[in-house]
Amino acid sequence: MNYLSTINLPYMLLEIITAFIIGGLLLGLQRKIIARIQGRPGPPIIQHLLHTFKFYIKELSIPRTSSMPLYVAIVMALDGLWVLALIIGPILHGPLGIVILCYAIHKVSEHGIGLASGSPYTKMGSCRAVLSATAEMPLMAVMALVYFKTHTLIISGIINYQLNHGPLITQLPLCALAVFILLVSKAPYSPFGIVWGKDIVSGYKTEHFGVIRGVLMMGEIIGYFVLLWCFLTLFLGSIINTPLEYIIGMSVITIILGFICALTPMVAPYHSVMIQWIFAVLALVNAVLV
Amino acid sequence: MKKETKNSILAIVTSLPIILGLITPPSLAVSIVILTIFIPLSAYYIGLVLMARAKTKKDEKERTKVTFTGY
Repeated sequence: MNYLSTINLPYMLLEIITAFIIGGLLLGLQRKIIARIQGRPGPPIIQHLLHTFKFYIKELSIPRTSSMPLYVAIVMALDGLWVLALIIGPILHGPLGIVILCYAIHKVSEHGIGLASGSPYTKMGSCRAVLSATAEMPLMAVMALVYFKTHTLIISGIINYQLNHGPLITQLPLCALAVFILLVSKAPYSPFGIVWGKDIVSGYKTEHFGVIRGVLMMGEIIGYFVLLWCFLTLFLGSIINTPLEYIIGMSVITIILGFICALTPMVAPYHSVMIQWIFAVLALVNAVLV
Repeated sequence: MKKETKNSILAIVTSLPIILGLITPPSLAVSIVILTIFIPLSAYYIGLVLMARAKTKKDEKERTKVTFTGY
């Protein structure tokens, strides 16, 4: 348990603020890349952060059909979950299982956010959140294969394994691909982004305005940072070590995600699940071969 | 009690554990609990206070605006 010894609250708060700023800038970069590919000038890179802050001074209107305590509480639960995942993963290098658990509960939170407002669009978004969870959780379960390879589920142990045996991306390439598909599915404007598809306005967050939308976006930014960090650490742990290398790695992945999101139309919900399952099966094939 | 006052008090109450934690850092487990629970809560209540202030400013601007009524 020596990973629980030195880090204190001010340090963690600083890390959370840094992760929020970097995550926001990366999402802004992704929007910029999508716009440039589509021949538009696009918003400035800082726009996603400004957008989040803008919601803090916008009027909060709560739908009459919403179930009030849940409507606010579930958004804060989602935010808290990603803060917890950030602390356990990138800050403490603690158990990977808790980060995965946060991801799993975050899907439940998305479902709850959709149901809480009472709007048909958000309900449709929440149903799709469950549907996408059935596809994304097997992808997340490939992390178990990382355990069979490294014999540890503590992130610092996984990094040490890679320092001795080389990056896991060379040993479990299909698993890395499956987790990369998970990143694609969580990126905005993704082909697998059925949860907030424009066919259902903004999906589960259609009826969330003002401050509550700002808090929701804050959680999403931190979540994006955590997922990118997890991918880089789990599969490129021996190559990427310093904060600068992490920022470069995250930027490169964001650029790739931007290209994918700009050039690929959104697939139908059932096709999205089917494609993601194919990658999960490929990862299992990788496990059998290894 | 006015809604704005209540929100201001709640904003202070929810940010207080974080501020106290910055002054005298607690144990790691307590720090995790404080940050996980109070960051979203304080973000929400501070947001409500900011929103109320922005609204008051906007209303004030509207109220004091000199409109040209024409001849």
